[in-house]
Amino acid sequence: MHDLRHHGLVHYALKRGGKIQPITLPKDLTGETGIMNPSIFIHNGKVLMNVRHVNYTLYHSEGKKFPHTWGPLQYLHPENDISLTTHNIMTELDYDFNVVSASRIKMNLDTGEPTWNFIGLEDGRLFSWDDRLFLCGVRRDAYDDQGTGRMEMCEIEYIDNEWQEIGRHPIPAPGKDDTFCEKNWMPIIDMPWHFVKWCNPVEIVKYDIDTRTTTTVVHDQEKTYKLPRDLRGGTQVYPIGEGRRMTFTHEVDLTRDAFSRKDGHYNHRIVVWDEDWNMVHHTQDFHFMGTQIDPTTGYEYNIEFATGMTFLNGEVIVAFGYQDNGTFLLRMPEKLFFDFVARG
Amino acid sequence: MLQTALETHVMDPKNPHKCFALAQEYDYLEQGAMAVSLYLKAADLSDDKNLQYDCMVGIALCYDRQRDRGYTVEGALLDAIALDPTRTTAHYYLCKFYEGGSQWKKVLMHANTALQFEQSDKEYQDLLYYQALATWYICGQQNGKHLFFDLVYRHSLYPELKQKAIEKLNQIFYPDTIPYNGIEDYERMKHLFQGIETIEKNYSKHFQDMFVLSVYNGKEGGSWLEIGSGDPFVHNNTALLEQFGWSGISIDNSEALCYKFKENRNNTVICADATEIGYVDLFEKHLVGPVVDYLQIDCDEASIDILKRIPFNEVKFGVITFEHDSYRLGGKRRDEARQILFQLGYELVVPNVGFTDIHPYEDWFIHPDVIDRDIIRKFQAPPRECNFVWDYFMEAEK
Repeated sequence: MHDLRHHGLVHYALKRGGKIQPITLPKDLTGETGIMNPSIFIHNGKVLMNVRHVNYTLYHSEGKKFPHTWGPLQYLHPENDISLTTHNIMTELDYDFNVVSASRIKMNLDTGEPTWNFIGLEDGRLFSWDDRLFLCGVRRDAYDDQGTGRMEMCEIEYIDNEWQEIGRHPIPAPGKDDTFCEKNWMPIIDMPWHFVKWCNPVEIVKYDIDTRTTTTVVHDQEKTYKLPRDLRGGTQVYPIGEGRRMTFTHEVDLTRDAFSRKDGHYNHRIVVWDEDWNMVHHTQDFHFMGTQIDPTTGYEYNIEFATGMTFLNGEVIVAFGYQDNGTFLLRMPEKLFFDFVARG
Repeated sequence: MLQTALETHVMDPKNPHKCFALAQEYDYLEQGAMAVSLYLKAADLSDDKNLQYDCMVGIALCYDRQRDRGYTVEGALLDAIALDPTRTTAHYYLCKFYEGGSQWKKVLMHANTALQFEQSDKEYQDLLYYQALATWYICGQQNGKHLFFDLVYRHSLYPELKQKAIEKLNQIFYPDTIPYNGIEDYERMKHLFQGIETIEKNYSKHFQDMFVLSVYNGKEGGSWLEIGSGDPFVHNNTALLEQFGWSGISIDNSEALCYKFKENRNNTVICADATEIGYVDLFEKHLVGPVVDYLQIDCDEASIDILKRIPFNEVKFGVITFEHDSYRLGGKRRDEARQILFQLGYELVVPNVGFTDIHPYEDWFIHPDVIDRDIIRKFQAPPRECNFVWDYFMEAEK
C-alpha cells in the first residue's frame, strides 16, 4: 500500500499519471502573504477558482527543529495589526488550468467597521445553484464582538469587468441558532439550497433564501460511523452516479508542544454516501503533500485544506491549500481517482 | 522551472535539497509565503547546518518583503547565526535590519563580528559600511568619520555603496585629521622618501610632516621652528621629524600643552604668545639659523601677524607651511602672506592645501636657495582653488 501519510496523495497520483499544478498569483495582488483554500468550479463553461488570500504567512515547523519564538505554529500577520483578514481572489483558468486572470472580489455589501478581528469571508466554496454563482464560507466580523460566526452565501457576478458581490445571505443554524460558530458546510451541487452541515452522523440542512431560515432535512444519529476523529467539511459535494455523492472531508488534531504552545495537524478523507445518506465508503485518511512524523511520539504535523473540486475532460481536479501559504491543483484521471477511492 | 522543481520535490518529499530548490523557485517568483513553508520544511528535514542556515536566511528575507514582521525576521536570522556564527550573511542582514530601527549598537556588534570571518567582497564592503555607520551614530565622533573617510578613499567599493558612503561623509563632514596609515597607504604614496617604510603612522593633521620629509627625501638631523605647536603628538607637525633625528624650537601659548610637550618630547618648547615674541633675540639665544629646514606657522587668525614678525633677513627656511584658513576667513590674509613670502623669494609649491576638496586652509612654500629646483618642480601642485591633501599625496587607485 502506498504511504499516503509520509508521501501523500500527490506523490501517489504522480506515480500513476496524475499531475500537480502550482498556482501563483501576482505579488501586487497578494503582498506575498498566504494564498490558500482554493475552491474550483466550472460555471457556464468557464473554469473559475476562488482563492482565499490572508494577511498572514503561516509559520509551521513540522519537524519542530525551528519553532518560532512564539511556538511551532504561528499566524504571522503584520505586528501592528492583530486582525486576521481574508480577501477573496477570483481566478479564471484555461482548460490547462493556467491562471488567465485574477482579481479581488469587490465586496459591495461590506458596511461599517468589522465587529471582530477575523475579517472577511473565510474558506468560501464556489458553486452555482439555479445558475446563480455563490461563494459560501464563514463570516465572523458581523454578528457581535465575540467572534460568533455564521455560514454566509455571497452571491457574485462579473459586472463591469470585475467580480462583485451582489447579494449576501447569512445562514442561521437550524433551530434556535444558538451555536457559537458554524463553518465548513458543504454545498451539494445537485441539490440547490442544501448543505452537508456535518458528516458523522450526517446532517443535511436546507436554507430558504426567501425566509432566511434553515431546516434540518436529514440527521440520523444511527448513521454514526466509527472513525478516529470528527469529519469536518471540505470540498463541495458532487453526485457520482447511481444516487451516490462524494466529497473530500478533513480532520484535525489540535495539539500542544512541551510549553503548551498550539500546534495542529490536518488529514483528509474521501467520503461516499448513497442516496439515503448512508456513508457507504470512505478512504483511509491521507495528506496531499506528505508530512513529517515525530518518530518518538508518532505525531504528525501538517496543515492542508481542500475546499474545492471539479470534474473536467475525464479528470478529477482537487484544489487544496498547503500550510495556509500555497495553492495547488491535483489532477487525476477519473479512473485513477476512483480506483484510489475504491481501494480505500 | 517551478513545475519541474515541484514535481521533483513531490517525488522525493523527504529530500531537503529538493525541497530547498523548490523554495528558491517560489522565492524567485516573489511568492514569499509558499517559499517560507518550503524553506522551513527543508530546514526541518535536513541535518546539514549549511542548508539549514540558508533556509533560515531565506525565511527572514521572505518575511522582510512582507513588511511589519520584524520580530520574525530577526528571529530567523538569529536562528541562522546560532547554526553557524562564523557565516556572515545573517550578520549582514541583521545589520540591515537593525539599521531600519536605528539600533546602532546591534548593528556594530554584528558588523564587527562578521568582519572577523571570511565573506564575499560585496558583503565585506557592506559590513564595513555598517561598521562605519553604526560607529558614527553611536559616538558622533571622529572615529566614525575616519571609518567613512577610509571607506571612500581607502577601500574599493561597488558603485552604489561608494555613492552612499560619499553622501554620508559629506553629510557628517570629514574627520579633522587624515593620518598616514603606514603599510596601507605606502603603495599609493606619490612621493616616497628614504625611511618611509619605517613609518607606521604620522602625527600631522594633513600630511605636513610627510611633506617635509618628502621634500628632504627623509633627511635625518634637520631643523624646525614650530609656531603653534599644540599637543606634542596630536596633530603635531614635528613629532615625526623628531623621530628622524630632527631638532628645533617649538612655541605655543598653552601652558598645559607646553608642559606635556616638555614631558614627552626631546626638544625645546617655549610657552609664549607667538605674536609678542622677540624673534631676533630668540634666534640669537637658541642659535637659530642661518638656515632652518622647516617653519610652521599655525596660529589661526594670528598667523599673518606672526609671519610679519619673523626676521627673514636673518634666517632662511627650506619649507614653510602657513595656515591661512581661507575657507573660513577669506583670502585676504592668505594673499598678504603670499606677497610677503614671494618678495622673500619663496615659491608657492602647494597653494590652498585643503582638508576636503573645497576647504583650503594652508599654503606650502619652498625656498629655491635651500631646495633644488628639480625637487620643487617635482612637488609643484596645480594652482587650484583647493588642493585636497589626500589627492595631492595619493595615487587615485590602489
